[in-house]
Amino acid sequence: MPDLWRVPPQAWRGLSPQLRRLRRLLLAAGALPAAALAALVGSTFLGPPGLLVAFAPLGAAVWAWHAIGRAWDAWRYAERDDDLLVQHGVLVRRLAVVPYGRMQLVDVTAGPLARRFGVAQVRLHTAAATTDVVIPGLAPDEAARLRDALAERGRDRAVGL
Amino acid sequence: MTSAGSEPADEYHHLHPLTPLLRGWLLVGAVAASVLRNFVEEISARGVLITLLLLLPTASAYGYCAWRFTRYRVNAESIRLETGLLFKRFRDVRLDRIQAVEIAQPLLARAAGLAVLRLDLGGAHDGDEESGTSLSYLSLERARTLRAELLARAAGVAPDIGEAPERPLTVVPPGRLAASIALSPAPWLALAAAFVLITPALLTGTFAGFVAVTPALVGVWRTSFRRFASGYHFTVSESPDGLRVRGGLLNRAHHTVPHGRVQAIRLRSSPLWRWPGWVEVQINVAGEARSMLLPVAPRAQAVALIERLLPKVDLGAVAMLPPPGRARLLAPLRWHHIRCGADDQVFVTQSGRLWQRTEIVPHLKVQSIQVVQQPLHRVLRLADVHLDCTGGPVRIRAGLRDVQEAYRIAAGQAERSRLGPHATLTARTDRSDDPPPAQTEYDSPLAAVCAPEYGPAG
Repeated sequence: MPDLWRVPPQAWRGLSPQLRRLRRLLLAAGALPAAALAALVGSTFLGPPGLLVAFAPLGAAVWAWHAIGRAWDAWRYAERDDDLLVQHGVLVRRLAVVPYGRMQLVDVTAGPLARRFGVAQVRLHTAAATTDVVIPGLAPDEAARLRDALAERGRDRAVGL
Repeated sequence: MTSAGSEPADEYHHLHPLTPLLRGWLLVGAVAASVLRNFVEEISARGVLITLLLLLPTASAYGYCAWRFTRYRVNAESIRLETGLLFKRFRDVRLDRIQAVEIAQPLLARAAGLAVLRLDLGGAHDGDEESGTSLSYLSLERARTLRAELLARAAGVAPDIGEAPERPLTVVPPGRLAASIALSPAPWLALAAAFVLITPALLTGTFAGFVAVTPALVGVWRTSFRRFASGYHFTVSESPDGLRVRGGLLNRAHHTVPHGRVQAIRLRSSPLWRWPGWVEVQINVAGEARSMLLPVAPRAQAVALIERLLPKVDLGAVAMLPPPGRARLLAPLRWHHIRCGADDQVFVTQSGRLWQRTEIVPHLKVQSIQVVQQPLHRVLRLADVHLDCTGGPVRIRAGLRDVQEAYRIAAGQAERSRLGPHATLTARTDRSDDPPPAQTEYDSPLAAVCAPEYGPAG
């Protein structure tokens, strides 16, 4: 469908690699202690073969590692002349089209950890409560640029309710 | 209170003098109850007297001051409300942002001949007090003239023409309303459940069943009664400043939806209503909690009303397309009832087998568009298209379309939303504050791809 949207492939932008790193770090921070705990519990009750129990959390973590990569890959956005396209989702695929004239607010947020990693989240609001369009990990400069660009185009094309 | 027209525009007004009494009755009642409970052991007339002597002047002084320091002013652009004894609060509501003006009469206020005037702005938080403001209480007559003045000013008409004449479009007779409630499944299901629970109790002679069932029966009676009470003498009428909707047995509600503020419409019929051919009509209006436009009406009447709300729309002429045949695998029973279609003004979807729904959204009111593909949908190359619109219960979803078609619908919708303000300015010509539509010279590559009459993917 790229030809339907008339967006050249290079106009689609992805998320910052820092977001993928941040998420994988969080995953590792959770999975390694879980594996250690599983190994400890397994060996206590089953003896040395019980160490194999540790592979369960490790396997899940490996799968999640890939899932993070795929979700990160799938998330992309494109600014067209009059609207913003945001596509994401691996299992459930979603494409959102938000005309600039309908945007009411653009939020840029970054938690303490995200700030450390240099990622920020951009969230768009329209007058409809069901509009839930998020671009989760952008470099702060890109997030600020996007916010300003969206606000400016929104002003030019604003439509009342 | 003199009429709105004879006063200078920037003069302050006070609310009705009975306001503190009506506002405070709950407080007074609570205090009286606690006083009574304290004195019930040792009822001394002296104690009660002292309490009352202390309480009454304080309460009335506070009430008087609160009333004295609450005032409002209407001028050409805004209505300003000042409240607060110590901490002053000023609230300016811009008249051109008003989405709807409502006159409500709660039971007690109705007895006193007073009314609440509510101004709804299309805030992001539905039903939130902060997004609008209300003046309580005014005399009913004052509320009417003020509403007329606000609506006239908001519409850019001379403010002193008085209340606009109105022409009734639809009235719901109480008999039909009662029949419609009797024909909806909820009361019968509850009765059947009660019967199932009570019969063993009667046979065995233990009455525990009654105890269990009574709350459910009371609940059903209450919801049914509420439906009846809120729909009693429901009237929709048309006036130059918008659509007037009023009704109610105990609490009278009376609100006005200015032209062009209807965001989406839904027609719904419950299974038993199909036999008399009745539908219920609900609308989305930004920032307005009330969504009922017609509790029950014959379908033709409802369609006529909708076509009056959305001029230039002919619902019968919109070509409704079924989803592809392979969608039957996911919705074997519903398939025949899932349809969607569009003309150059509105997008229409149909869904539901038992509760059949028809949802209508004008292209101009679509806020954002989403194409959602569940895993199973992907196997069958299907997708849903959601058109997000503001406020209220109506959600527009074109379900189970072919993937290519779904993306084409979304692209076409995006294109219409771009072209919209130029092409269809019908309902909003009276608005003066809107910035002129952006007249940039855009090339229109999508126009060819997404003509309004898209067909199945081919």
